[in-house]
Amino acid sequence: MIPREIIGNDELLSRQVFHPPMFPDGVLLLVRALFEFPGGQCESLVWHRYAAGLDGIHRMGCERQTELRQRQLSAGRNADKTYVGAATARAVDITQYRNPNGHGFSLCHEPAEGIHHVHVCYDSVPGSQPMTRGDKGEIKLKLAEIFHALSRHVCPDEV
Amino acid sequence: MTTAPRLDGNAGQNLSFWPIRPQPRATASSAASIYEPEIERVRTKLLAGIRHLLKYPITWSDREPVPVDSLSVETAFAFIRQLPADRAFPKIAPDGEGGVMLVWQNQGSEALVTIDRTMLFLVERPGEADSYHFAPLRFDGEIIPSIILERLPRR
Repeated sequence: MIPREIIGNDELLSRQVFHPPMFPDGVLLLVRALFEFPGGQCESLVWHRYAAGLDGIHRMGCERQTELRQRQLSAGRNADKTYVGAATARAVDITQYRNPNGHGFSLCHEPAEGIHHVHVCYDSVPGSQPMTRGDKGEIKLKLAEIFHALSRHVCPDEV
Repeated sequence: MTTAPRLDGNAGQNLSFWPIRPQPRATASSAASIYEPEIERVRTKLLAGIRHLLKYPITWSDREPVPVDSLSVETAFAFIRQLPADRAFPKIAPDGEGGVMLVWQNQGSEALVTIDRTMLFLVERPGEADSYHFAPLRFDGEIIPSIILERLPRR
């Protein structure tokens, strides 16, 4: 079993971004929220140190695109899931943010899901009031702002 | 001891001639009815986008999208319909838990309203060190609570 490592402040982490399905006037109407934390679950990031940098992250993104499209085809759906690139942030920028109610994020290395795998999870200062939907919305938007720079990538047809 | 019902003298009275007190200022619903073609065109697109979220949930990740709750969509729909013409339109996003986020990112004036079924969660200056969270308010689909309306960026 691979042991968990502490993620240093200056480590780089990327969010692999998949294009949402067709959306009318998406650029004009949609906020690029990037993170959802469905049901309070953690979200996945890729640790640059173990992914051979952005090139490695894009390669993994394209492999994932191929898997997802095969799954869509098997389910009789259009194979349209598209990896569009990776947004990157420093670990300290993610963990140091707290909203005025004491809510923010923590990072945890999850090598059991691949040595490069990191979870970003909701995290609150001890004694904080339970998170409201307003808190969750605010910190998710902030996280997307921290990961603002998207390195675009177009996958080759076959990976 | 029983208490007799209190009568105010109006029971059964025809009130159609009763004078209507003039409204001191435009309410959200009346302001929204001012017709400006360009504004209404954008409003229509935004409403279509909200409906689209219900039919085709979206995600930026590699997992299956979380469906948006139909009541949250209806509330978002009513909110946009009642938004006065002098207020900027928000951008939208699913909140990942079935709700809808309305986000105003106008320069120097930012606001977030998260819609969870019929409840509105307003955050002023979201993400800033001095962001402010208001107590959740129920939206009846008709009149946007004034405490929210007053804090939404103007066009």
